Amino acid sequence: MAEFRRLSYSLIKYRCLIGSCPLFSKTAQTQNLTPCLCRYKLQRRIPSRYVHTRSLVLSQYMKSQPSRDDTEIDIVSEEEKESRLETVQELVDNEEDDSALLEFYVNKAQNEMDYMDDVDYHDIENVNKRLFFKIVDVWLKDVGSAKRGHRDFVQTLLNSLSRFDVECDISAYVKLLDCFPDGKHTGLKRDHWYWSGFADKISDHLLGQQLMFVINEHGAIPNDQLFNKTTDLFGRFSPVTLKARSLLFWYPRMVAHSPHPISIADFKKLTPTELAFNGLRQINPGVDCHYHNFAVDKSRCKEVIDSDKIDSIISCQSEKQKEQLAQHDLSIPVYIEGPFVVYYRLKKVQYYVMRANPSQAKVEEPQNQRTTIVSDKEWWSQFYGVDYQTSKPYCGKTLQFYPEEDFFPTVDIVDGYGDKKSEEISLIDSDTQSAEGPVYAIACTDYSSPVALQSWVRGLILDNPVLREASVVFREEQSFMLNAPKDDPNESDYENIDIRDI
Amino acid sequence: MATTAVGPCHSRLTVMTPVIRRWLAYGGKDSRPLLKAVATPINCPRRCLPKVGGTRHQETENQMVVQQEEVIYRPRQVRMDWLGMKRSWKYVLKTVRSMFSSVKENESTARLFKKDHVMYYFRNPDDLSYWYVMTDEDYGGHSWAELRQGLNEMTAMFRGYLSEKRPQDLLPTTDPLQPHPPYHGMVYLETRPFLTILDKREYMSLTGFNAVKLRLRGDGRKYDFEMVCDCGFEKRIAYVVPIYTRGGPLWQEIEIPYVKFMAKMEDGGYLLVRQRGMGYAMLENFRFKLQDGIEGPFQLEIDYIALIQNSTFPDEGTDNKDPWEPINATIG
Repeated sequence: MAEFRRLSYSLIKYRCLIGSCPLFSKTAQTQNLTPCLCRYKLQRRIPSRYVHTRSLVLSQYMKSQPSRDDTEIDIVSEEEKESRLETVQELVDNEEDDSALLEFYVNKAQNEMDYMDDVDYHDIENVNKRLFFKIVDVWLKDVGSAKRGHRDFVQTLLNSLSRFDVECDISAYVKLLDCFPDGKHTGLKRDHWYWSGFADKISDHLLGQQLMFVINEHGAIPNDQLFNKTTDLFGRFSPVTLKARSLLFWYPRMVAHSPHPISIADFKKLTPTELAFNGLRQINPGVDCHYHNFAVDKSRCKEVIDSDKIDSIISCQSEKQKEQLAQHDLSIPVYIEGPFVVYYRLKKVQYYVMRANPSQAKVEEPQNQRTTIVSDKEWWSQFYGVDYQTSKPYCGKTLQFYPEEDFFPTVDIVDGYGDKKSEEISLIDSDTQSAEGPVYAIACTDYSSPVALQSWVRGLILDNPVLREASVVFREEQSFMLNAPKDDPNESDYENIDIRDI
Repeated sequence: MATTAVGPCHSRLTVMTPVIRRWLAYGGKDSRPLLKAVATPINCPRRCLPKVGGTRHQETENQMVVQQEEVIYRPRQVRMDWLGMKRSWKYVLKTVRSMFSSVKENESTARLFKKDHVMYYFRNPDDLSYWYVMTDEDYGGHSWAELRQGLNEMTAMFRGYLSEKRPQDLLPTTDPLQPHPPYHGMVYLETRPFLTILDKREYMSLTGFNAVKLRLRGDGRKYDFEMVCDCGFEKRIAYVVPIYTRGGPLWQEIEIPYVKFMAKMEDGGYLLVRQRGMGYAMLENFRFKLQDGIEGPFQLEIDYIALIQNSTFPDEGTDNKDPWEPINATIG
C-alpha cells in the first residue's frame, strides 16, 4: 500500500515529463502549467479551507519523527511521553508568535518613514493610514517579485484593518491586491471558460473572496479600479471577479433605498452638531424646514454634560407645523415630551417633541341650543365660490385662490371598467390621528433637565408668538429605547406554553 | 434460501403519511417539553415521547441495593385535532360558496374593483395572532424580542434588544493567519402560514396591484422587508427590500413597487446572480428582519400593510436585471 502511494506521488510530481500521455497536446510553454488529465493521476486533495503552516520549526520537528504504519503498536514508557511533551512545549514557547509578522513590518515601516513619504502619500492626512501603505510598500520591497508568503501577510492585514483606520477606504483593499504574485506563469489567472474548472491556487481565490466579503462588511465603496485589478489578477472566470462585479452592481441599488445616504467614512467625520442636524432631518423630513441652534442659559441650567455631547438646542420646524401651532387652542397647554432616542446610522441621537394632546371630537355646536348660524361671511364665499372682498374665484371647495403645488405633477390615469373603485386605506388611514395629537416642533439636545428647554421655547417665540401666551408643560416619558433591559423580561411566561397551542 | 433482512418493525402509524399522523397525538400532560422561544415550525410532527421509568431494586454481589428505572406503560391518549377539522371545513364551505357567488363577492375577482387592498392591520389585539417572532436565541444568541399592541392600542409594536454577543458554540479565533468571520445578531417578525385542508399551505396573491404600501414608525434602524414568493420544497426564493426607517414621532409611509424587490435565497444571505421577477400568485409570508450589526434596543410600530396600484410604476419584470450576466456566465 505504501509503495503504491509513493509511486502515485512521484507520478503526480513528474507528470509534466510523461511525454507518452496522449492527452498532452499543448506547446512547450504551457506544458508545465496545464493540469494532467492522465488516468494514472490520483484524486487530488483539495482542501475545503486553506490552511497555513504555523512555523517551519514545528513542521521540521514533526518530520523528524519516524513514520509508523497503523498496524504497529507503540509501547511507549511514560518517561518518553513526558520528554516528548517537554520538547514540544519548548518549541511552542520559543517559536515566534504569528502576530510577530505584522509587528515586525510595523516597526520596520515606522523606522523607515522619511521625508520622501510626505511626497508619496501627500493625499493621505491620517498618520495611521500612511503607516498601512508604508507597511505594504516595505513588504513588497523586501519580498521581491516572487512575493513569497503573500497569503499570510494579506490575511494578517485583513484581520487588523481597524488598527490603521483604513477599513472604509477602498484604496487600501486595492493596495492589498498588489501583494498577490502577478505574472503569466503564476497559475492564478482563470481566463478560459473550460480550463478554469481544473485550475489550481484555490486558496488564493478563497482569500480574494474573503477580501471582497470584508469590503462589503465594512461599507467601503467599490470602484472600477477594484474590478479591473481583480480581473487582471484572478481572471474573468474567478469567483473573486464575480463578487467584485456584484459589489459594483448592488451598492448603488442598496443606497438608492435610503432617503439621505451617507457613507461610513463621512459619518465618522461628523461633529456632534452635524450629527444632530442629520438626525433631525431624518426625523422631520421636508424641504422647507427651519433649523435653529439655540444656546442654553448656563446660569439657570446647572446640568453638566460631556464635551462630546450636544450642549445647545438644535430645533427643527416645518411650515405646516408652524401653521398648526398658530392655530393652537390657548386654553389647552402645549406639551414637550421626552427624552426619546433615534438611531442615525451607527449612533444615537436624543430628541424632544413639542406637541398638543389629541383633539377630541369637536362638534361645533353653539352653547345656546336655540341659536344657529343662518348665514355668514364664510358661508357666502363658499356658496358662490368667490372671495367676499376681492370677488376672486376660489379653486374648488377650499378657500384658496391657487391650487396646491406639488413638486412633481400627479397623473391620474383612469382605468377601464367604468365602475368606481373602492378604497380601503382611506378608511383606516386617519385612525391614529384621534389618538395622537399634532406635532409642532422637534429639538435635539443631550440635556435631560426641563430648565434647558426654556431656551428652546424662548427661541421659537420669534416665529411663533402663540407660545408667549400658551402654557408649555414638560411631560417626562419613559422611553423603551433608553430603559430597555438586556435580558428578556417575558422569560417566565414561556414555561407554561403548550406546543399544541402554537 | 438466503437470509432475509430483518428491518425495523413498522407500526401502523409510520406507514401513514406525516400529514395524517399529525391528527393523532401521543403523550401525557407531564411529558410536554419546555420551550424557550415563542415560535416553532408548525409542520413539525409530534414525536412519540419516551416512556418514563420508575424504580426497581436489584441485589448485587455485595448485597447493595441499586435502584433501577422501571418501565411504566401508559395508556395511549389519542386526541383529534378539532381545530384543524374546523379550519378545513371552513375552507371547503368557502370554495363551494365561491362557485355560486358573484364577481364582487369572490375575493380574487373583487380585486379588479379595488383601488387598494389592506392585507394586515392591527386594530384588535387578536390581529397579533397572525404573526410570530423568532430570534437568534435558537442557535445560541442573546437577543430578545416581543410583539405587543402599541401605546395607542391601534398598532402592533415589535420591540426588543439586539445583542451582538457571540454564542458559546461559535468561538472566535485568535490566530491572525485565519479569517475572522463576523457574527451578527438577528431578530425577525413573520406572518403565520395560512393552512387549509389537512394543513396544506395556502398562498396569498399579489395580482391586480403594483406596489406594497407600509405605514410604520421605526427607530432609525434598517429593517429588511422580505416576501417569500416561490413554491418549492426545501430551497425557496425570497424577495427583499431594505427599509431605512426615519424614527421619531411622525408616521412613515413607504410605497415599494414589486420590481424593486431583490431576489435572494430564503435560507442564505446572498442575493441571486440571475435575478428574476416574482410569481405574484405564490406569496407565502411577510417578514420584518433586523440584522444591521448595531447592538442596542429596537422598536418598530406597524400600522398596516397594503397593496396599491400606482400607474407610474411598471407592472411586471424586475429592475435588478444585470445585462452582463448571461455574457459573464458563458463567454466572459
